[in-house]
Amino acid sequence: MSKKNNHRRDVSVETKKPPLSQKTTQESQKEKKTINITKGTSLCIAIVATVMVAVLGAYYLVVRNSDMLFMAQSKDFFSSDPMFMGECMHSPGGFLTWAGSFLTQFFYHPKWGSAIMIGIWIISMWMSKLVFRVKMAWMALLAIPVVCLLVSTIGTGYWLYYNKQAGYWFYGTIGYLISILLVLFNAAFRKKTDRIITILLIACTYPFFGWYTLLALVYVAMLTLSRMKKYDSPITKILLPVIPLVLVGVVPPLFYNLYSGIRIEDVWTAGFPIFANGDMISFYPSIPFIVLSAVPLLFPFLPKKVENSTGMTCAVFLVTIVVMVLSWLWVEKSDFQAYNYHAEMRMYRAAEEQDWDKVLDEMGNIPGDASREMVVLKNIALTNKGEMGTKMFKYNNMGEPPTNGFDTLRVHMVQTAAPLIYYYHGKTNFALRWAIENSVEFGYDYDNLKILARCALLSGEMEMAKRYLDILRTTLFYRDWADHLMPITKNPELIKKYPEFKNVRELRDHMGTVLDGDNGLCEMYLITYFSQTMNKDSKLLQEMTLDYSLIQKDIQLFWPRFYLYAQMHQGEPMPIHYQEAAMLYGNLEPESADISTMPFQDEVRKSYEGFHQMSQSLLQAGLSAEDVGEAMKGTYGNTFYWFYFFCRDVHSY
Amino acid sequence: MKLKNILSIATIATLLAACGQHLTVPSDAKMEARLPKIYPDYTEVTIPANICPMNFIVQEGESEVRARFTFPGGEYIYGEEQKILIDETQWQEMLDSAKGQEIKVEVFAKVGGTWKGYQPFNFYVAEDSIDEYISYRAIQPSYVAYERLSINQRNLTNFEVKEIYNNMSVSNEKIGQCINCHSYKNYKTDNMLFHMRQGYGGTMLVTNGQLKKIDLKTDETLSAGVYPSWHPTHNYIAFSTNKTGQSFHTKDLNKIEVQDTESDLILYDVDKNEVSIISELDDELEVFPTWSPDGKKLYFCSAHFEYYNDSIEKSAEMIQRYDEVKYSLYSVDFDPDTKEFSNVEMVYDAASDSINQSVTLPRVSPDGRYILFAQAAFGCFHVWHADADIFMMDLQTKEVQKLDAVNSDRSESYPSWSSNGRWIMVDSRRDDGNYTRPYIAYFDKNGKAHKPFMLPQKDPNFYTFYLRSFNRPEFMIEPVTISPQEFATKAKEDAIPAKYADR
Repeated sequence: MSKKNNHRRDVSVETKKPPLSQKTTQESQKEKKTINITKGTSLCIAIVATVMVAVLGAYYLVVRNSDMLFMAQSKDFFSSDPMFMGECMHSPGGFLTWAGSFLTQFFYHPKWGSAIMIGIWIISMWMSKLVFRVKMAWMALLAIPVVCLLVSTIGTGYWLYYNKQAGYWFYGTIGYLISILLVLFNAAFRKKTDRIITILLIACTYPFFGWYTLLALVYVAMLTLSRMKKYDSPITKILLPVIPLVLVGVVPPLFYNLYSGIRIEDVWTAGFPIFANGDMISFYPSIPFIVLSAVPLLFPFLPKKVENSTGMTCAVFLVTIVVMVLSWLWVEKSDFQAYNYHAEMRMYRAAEEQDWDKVLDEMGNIPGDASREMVVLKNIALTNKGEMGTKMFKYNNMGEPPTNGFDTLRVHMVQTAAPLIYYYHGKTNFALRWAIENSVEFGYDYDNLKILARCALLSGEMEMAKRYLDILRTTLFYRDWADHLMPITKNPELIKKYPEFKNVRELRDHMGTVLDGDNGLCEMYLITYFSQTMNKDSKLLQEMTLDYSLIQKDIQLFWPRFYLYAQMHQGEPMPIHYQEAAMLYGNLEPESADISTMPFQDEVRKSYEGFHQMSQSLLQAGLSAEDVGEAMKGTYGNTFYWFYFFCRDVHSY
Repeated sequence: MKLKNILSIATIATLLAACGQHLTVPSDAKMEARLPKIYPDYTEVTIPANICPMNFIVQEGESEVRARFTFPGGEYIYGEEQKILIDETQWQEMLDSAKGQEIKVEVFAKVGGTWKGYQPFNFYVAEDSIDEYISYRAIQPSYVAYERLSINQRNLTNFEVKEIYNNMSVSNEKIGQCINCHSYKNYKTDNMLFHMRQGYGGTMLVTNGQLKKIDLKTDETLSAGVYPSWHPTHNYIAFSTNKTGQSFHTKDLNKIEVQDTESDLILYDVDKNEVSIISELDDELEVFPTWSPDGKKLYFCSAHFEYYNDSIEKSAEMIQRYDEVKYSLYSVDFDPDTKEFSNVEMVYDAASDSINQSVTLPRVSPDGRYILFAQAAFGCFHVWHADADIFMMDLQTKEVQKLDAVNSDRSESYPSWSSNGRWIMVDSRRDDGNYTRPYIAYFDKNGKAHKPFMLPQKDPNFYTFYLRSFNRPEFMIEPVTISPQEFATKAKEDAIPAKYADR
């Protein structure tokens, strides 16, 4: 390093005043001396900091958040079509949107995406070391911005579904690297005029990098300030740091006239993630980006000389350890590990892939109450396996609304899963509606495009289906999926040969059409619609109407659907939950049906009697209804009786 | 010196590449006795003498295609993978040379390693030119949510598209804004308007080049102005006022119904900033006003609809009886000097038992001879009705005819005339049933409409990836010169409330 400095001095010997970046021979020799002494330790610290970033990244991204990363990419979109690039460039920072979306698609394989992300972080760290000429001893400090990026990736919680920044998952990562590279570009020049020209050129990158161009300008100002020498002229001292700062204020409004789709007050923050939904703005998920932006301002001012004294060594180690520990604590605290949040994503993916066993395995493993979305997905899985009548109450049907904990974001099923849920209920118009509504609000994504293509295929709108499939064919990881379905667009009859459409087709084909609306409550709508529907033509649809009448807990709706089920399944055993419902309703309202001649299984008779006796004795013992339910859950939690009496206060959302 | 060398090499390389691009058509092509499949379907269409290049994709073969354009002055050959991308200068040369005649197009495609040729087709170049601009709202097929909406203007003589206004220039998460119903006086943009709803709501009104923001809602009217029509000679605008609702078909491919539970007509006097009632009959749903070119008649649609179920809200009853709402076409005489309306006349009784249809969106031709409208079985929102077609009435003979050449088996709606009356534009969903695209058809001196062509795009693949509809395409003879930023600044100001004037 010292040799390099000497060489630099030699080649610029014609300048009377040493350039900003140049050191005197004495300074250089002194530095050489001290650095040589601490080189081994510094290198160790740098390696440890780098390894920390890699390990934290690998652990928190791959091990703990693979399911989330897969969902993140499915809610994003990148197309190789040039029109997509044009769309991205409609806002300042358009290149980062485009590049962010490009790299986000690699989370289709979370390990690949994570490796790319961690790779960029490590490059950013070392580039910032180079740009700001930070000693290796302070390398842990250089890791702070990338730790922020890790936190911003794993700490969004349910904002994952509500984030409107396309390419978000790599936007900051690439943005930070770009801002460092822009500073490097400026620092590579020594002449004042060159540096001013490069500052102006950096400012011109605003349309491509938005917020990160402005950050780069601020970093340039700080770097310039840190390198001021006593013998610099007053003009240099004032002009070089002031120009980039003035440009930060001036450039965004200058470019404002290029954009018709941004508010003037937002031009300075174009590309900075704002987490807002309706009236609610969440500050918490923006914190990493604030820290990320602020911390590099200090880098140019870090001590350039790390003397080989005990005090300094202690300071360096202390800083390194404190930064590493705090980083880990922050990452750990920010990692959104609500069980249902991740399980819901795994269930959604399994449902999307029609891996019904996996959906049910996930549901069976939930430690507490599920979310309503999980309950609905479980029911879809059971319906497709033909096991609703025998297993629907063997799972926990209590459902709680999802929350972030760190803010008051209200999560709605129509935004997280309604298109898929409606699709599997054969309600393709509503699936399509919510896929479009969500695309309008949050941008088209792979997930919605797949739903749109499927719905169009099912409704026979082949040109429409072809359009969506053509778009998916321009993507990296959904091309095969689109190719697989494309033949149907040429020969609609082929859809009958695709097993994945079998049940949905049957439901859709046997459903009537009405003018309707769900008022944004997907689950409530489905319960009402199916529990009030009667159908004699499709066993699948008929059973679904019976299932939903059980969920609705409506005795009057139950009996006609129960009898119809019995008629349509003559000679087949009556599923246990339907027997339980008949037993309970026949006893609760004997006038509604005569169950005396019904051939209940002994198991059902015994469980009903046991349930009745136990509940009566517990109530007589003075327990509250809630406590009775809790006490009986272990023995009878898998029966319709328990569901009927104790599965209450369920808030659909 | 180094840079000079690089530039020289680049220039030579470019020239060599350009030389290499000299295309020929295969001489040994096997001829097919049918037209080629091309997208958009531009076969045998009549085009304006000033239209931009009609680029298209050849949907034959997998690799190489050629198209030879033969015109009175010579021929040009194009072909780039599957696309036929026509040089703009050469295209203009072709149009100039073939005015009143045709350009013959022969298409060749390499299919399985063998060149095939197809039956040639013609572009018939009309003597008549078309208005240079159209404007439209770019919107996803609408349901309830809205985010980024823009009103765009497109130059028809080239491919330039600019945004007139984008709602995101004032919207954020807290303040969402919807925009709609852009409209111009006599095809010019110094008198124009569009509405904004929700955040910063109001009507953006440009009068004689001056921009104002007006609140057209008064205590005496149903709503702010909705569907507008500028009076051609005076500073008046007729609007409908509507209470509109939306509901969803669970399976029907029409998917959405948009219904007015109530609607009336109002007149806005721009100079006096006054709103007055034109028509507000109890059991009539009056809507879609449009002036005759002399400004002495106002045409509009109206449906007779009586609510008889007091136990439910009007909107709920409307949902139950949505297919009973049928609009007929009316006119009312107007004296521009006194602002008096008189003599309401049934022009076309579409709702009658014998016709049993519903007409919407009437537009009178610039010469006053014809009136175009969209007709379907029921309702007022035909963009979502697959059976909707464009019809035309000859106002001299009162004869109504369906414009077969213009229609498809999917929705056609929102017809409009070019300023010279020789071109009509309709919004059609014929492409895929969901996204509306502008189709332009020649309307000859004999009152005959010809096969329409889809608005050409530089990249003919544009429509595959463009997941927005072209809503309310309108002809303009000049561009809007007020910038989107100026509109945005004005949008944030408080709207000037319109006064109500009793008639």
